[in-house]
Amino acid sequence: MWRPEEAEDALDQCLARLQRGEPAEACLVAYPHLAAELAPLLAVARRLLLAAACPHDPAPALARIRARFLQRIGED
Amino acid sequence: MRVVRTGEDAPLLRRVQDYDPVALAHIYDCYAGRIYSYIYFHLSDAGLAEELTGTVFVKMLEAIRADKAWTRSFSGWLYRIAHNLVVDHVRRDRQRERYGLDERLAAEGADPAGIVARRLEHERLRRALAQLTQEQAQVIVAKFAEGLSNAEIAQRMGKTEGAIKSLQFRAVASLRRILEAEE
Repeated sequence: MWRPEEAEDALDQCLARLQRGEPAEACLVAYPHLAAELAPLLAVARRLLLAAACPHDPAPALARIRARFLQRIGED
Repeated sequence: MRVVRTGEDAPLLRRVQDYDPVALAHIYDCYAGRIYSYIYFHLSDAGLAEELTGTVFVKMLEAIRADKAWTRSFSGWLYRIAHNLVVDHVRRDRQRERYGLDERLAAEGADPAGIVARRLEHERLRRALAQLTQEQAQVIVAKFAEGLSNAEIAQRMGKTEGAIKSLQFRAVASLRRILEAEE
């Protein structure tokens, strides 16, 4: 049996590793006793990360918005 | 990008309220990327993310000019503008029932089927997020859409990092149950 805090810490560590691009299986190796609990949660986390990842570089868009923003300030 | 803290950055925020162009540009640089990510996370549309991010900052300027800007948390106020724009857009979108291959979609890339699949996945996740408690949804969006650290989320929500980890665990577990029940 595991403590809730232990599972919360383990999920947090696994999320950090997922965000760095590591596969879920590699993250779970460090927590064999929690793997059954964490695996489906990491599957959900992976879906969230994929949804959040822009398939393009937003930098050009941010530069265009910035230029329009500064122009607007100058006109006011 | 760094998080502007209402207390620590009071002088900067005063200059923003005074319409100081340098301070306004600084605020844009601090927040634009995260606001863009927040909107993209919810709508999965690069063109819309650009349009609505621009609108957020124009609304910020208009509110400052009208003396109707933030009274407590600047960050919370700015995200509220973004949130309202996203909600308005989703409402209008539902009325138009657009998830077809409209002109904007076709113009976005060479893989319209992939774009539709991605938008449907976003819609599933958005509906599931709407069923979480407000705090759980806040943590998920801050962590996954904005890429904030636990310390930054804790500061924003006025909680300890331990409480954020706990909230995060419950939020992901709830999302799992909701998604499994729907799929």
